[in-house]
Amino acid sequence: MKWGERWRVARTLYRELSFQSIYALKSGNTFLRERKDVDPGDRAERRILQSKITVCVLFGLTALASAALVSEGRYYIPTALTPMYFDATIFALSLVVIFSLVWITGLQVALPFLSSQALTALRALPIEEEDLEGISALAFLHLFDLPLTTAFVLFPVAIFLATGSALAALASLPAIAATEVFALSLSLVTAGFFARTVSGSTGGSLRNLLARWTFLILWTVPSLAITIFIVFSVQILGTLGQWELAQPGSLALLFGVFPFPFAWVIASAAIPTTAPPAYMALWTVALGAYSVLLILAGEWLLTAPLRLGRTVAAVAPSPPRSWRLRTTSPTVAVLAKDLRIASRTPAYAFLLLLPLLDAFVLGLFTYLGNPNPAMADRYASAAVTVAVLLSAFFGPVFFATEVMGFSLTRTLPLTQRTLMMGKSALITIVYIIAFLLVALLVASRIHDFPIFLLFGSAELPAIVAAALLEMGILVWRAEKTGVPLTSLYSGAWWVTMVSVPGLLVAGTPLIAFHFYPSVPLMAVLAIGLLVPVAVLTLRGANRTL
Amino acid sequence: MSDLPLVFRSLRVTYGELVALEGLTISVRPGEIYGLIGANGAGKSSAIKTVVGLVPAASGKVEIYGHDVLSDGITARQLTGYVPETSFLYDALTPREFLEFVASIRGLDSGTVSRRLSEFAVALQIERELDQAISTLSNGTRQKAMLIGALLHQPPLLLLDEPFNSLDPRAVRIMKDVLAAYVADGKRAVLFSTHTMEVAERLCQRIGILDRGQLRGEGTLDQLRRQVGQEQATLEDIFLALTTDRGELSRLVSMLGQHGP
Repeated sequence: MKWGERWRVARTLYRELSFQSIYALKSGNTFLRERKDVDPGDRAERRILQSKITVCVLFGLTALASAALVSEGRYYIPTALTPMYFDATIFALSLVVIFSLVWITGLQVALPFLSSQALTALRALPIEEEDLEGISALAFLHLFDLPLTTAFVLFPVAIFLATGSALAALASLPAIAATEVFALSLSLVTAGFFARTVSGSTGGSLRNLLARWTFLILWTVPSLAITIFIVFSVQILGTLGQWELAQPGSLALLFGVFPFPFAWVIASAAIPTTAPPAYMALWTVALGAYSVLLILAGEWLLTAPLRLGRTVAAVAPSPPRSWRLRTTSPTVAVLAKDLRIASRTPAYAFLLLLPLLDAFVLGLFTYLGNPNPAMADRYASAAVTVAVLLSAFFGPVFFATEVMGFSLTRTLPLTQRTLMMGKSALITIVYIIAFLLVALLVASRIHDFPIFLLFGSAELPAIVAAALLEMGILVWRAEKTGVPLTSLYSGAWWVTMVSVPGLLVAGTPLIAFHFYPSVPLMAVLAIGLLVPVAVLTLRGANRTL
Repeated sequence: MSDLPLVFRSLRVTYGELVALEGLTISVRPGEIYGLIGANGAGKSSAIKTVVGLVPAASGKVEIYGHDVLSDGITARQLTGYVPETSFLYDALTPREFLEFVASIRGLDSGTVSRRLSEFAVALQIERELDQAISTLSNGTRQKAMLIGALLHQPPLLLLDEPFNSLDPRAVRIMKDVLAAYVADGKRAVLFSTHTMEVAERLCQRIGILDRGQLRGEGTLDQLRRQVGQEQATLEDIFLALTTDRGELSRLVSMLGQHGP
């Protein structure tokens, strides 16, 4: 089979994957009742395209930030780094962000891809194994095509604009290729491992529980890397400079680790400079090793999607632990079900853990790096703000857990009110834990801890209001057309649209506090938002979906 | 409240241009197992899905013990237990967690449902899979979990859409006995759809025969025999007599035979 023919089959596979991803009919969702004159396959592809564009916007913002840091940063950021080290560090951080964004996208896409019955259907056809591998690889890459291409175009352009060097822009191409290939490979490796060993595990033993949560936390690492780049890039540049001054040569070792060798090539192309021969030799060897790894990973990537698609979680049956069924109130049952699903589904666990881990990192930074109480106050407030924004932003995706088994849920006497309250409770709990983490870490650092506690508590009604508003919109939409979201990637457009009103509600007390720092005013505003939103969304919500 | 567990009144169901059901009017009586039989696409699943609110009626009415399923959906759902044709469950949960969710939504107490779980799980031989992720279970085991979920609250009306499709022969036999005992009190009722004539013939007190969205015949086996004028006819004979042109059937069989290996 020629590559052109493989591409044609891969396009069909891609269309099926898009359809499954958007409509999730196999998970028990009901077909979205939308405009009749639009083909559902076309609509699914368009939704995926919208999501890809959302990811591309993130790439664009990262490229812009990198360009700004390279062209202007050295005038404003106090650091002892030489220009080459300075630029190379920014390029390396940018590559880390590309790597993280591709990995995040991969974790949303890879598991559904591997578990798709579309691959099984292809295997039943008289197609050579080699062709099947090529088709699967093309379909997998097709899911990422626009973001990967955007990174390939935008970053060289940004580097050219920042450095004025066409050579540096060209030198960035292999760096971006390596970053993308490594990130895609890691997505598949981790997804395959998850499907093989973790997805069938249900927390029966402490070992299973630990393995599952360790693995799920691992999947939040890329998003933490992005936060660190956004929040701490200036501090990183300062710290690396101090490190080099204190222990000359230490940076040379760091520059042997991916993605620094590639960043060194870009920086050297932009600013011709010399370094001690031993360093140059080390970086060249590292570059060579990573280039070999790139070729191997690229070859592996061409065959892995099909091979890993055969992965099956095997679990041996065992006698029941007991016959006891623990029943709770319907609202708690919705909450418990979502927590259980989230703890076993990376795409959802990531959303639960991200606000918590971000709050932890920012709180830790406040604890370790800011003995000045005034600064600590600001950082602690920023950490709470991040927790607010993340819990309000990711809230709608928790609603997507209803996609799974939606046709079952609709046959149960489950009211919209119970559903909304269960989901809102989950979002509120995420915020409370994130806030308590920050409070615990900054207790000894900020100068008016009780006020800080009141600040976090005053925001709580606004979080509940934001969650209820988002859930209300989604329930209204689900009643009309079905549950629209399946994952952060395929539903990115919807997440963004529904999150905007939620973010406005959650953000209003914080914005008010920024201009007029009064906790009572914040509390009044938050409660003032909660009351009408609760009345609007919960009144009359005693129907089923 | 009406005594009739289930009433369809001139039900019409459409999917865009396609008319799946047209003017369906039947009632299921207390103490009765009512079988809906028909070919693929005859409208059996659409009828059952309308009862549980998964498919909206284009016109007509469906009532459960006098409660309109559209305007009084919560009551209607409290009075029914439903097993779909395809077992859509929460794959990340275990059967135990799934049943805990269902029991909690239905407001059942822990002691009662635990006792029922032990009875059903042993009878259907699902006890060793209770704490395994649903994603790792076979279709038959999923179907058993769905059946237990539908029976936990002992609903007055059971709705089963092709319930025996994925079950092993032992589980089918047990379920047939369970269903017969279920309606023996003369108050509860079961509506189920099937392709399998033998199951419908043995299990159902009354049968409705659907063909391309229309009810072609209804009644006990004897009433149906009289309707087609064949005193010794099997349900398969009756079904074919009511839904198929004999000449056309013979022509198709002959044509397929000519294309054989």
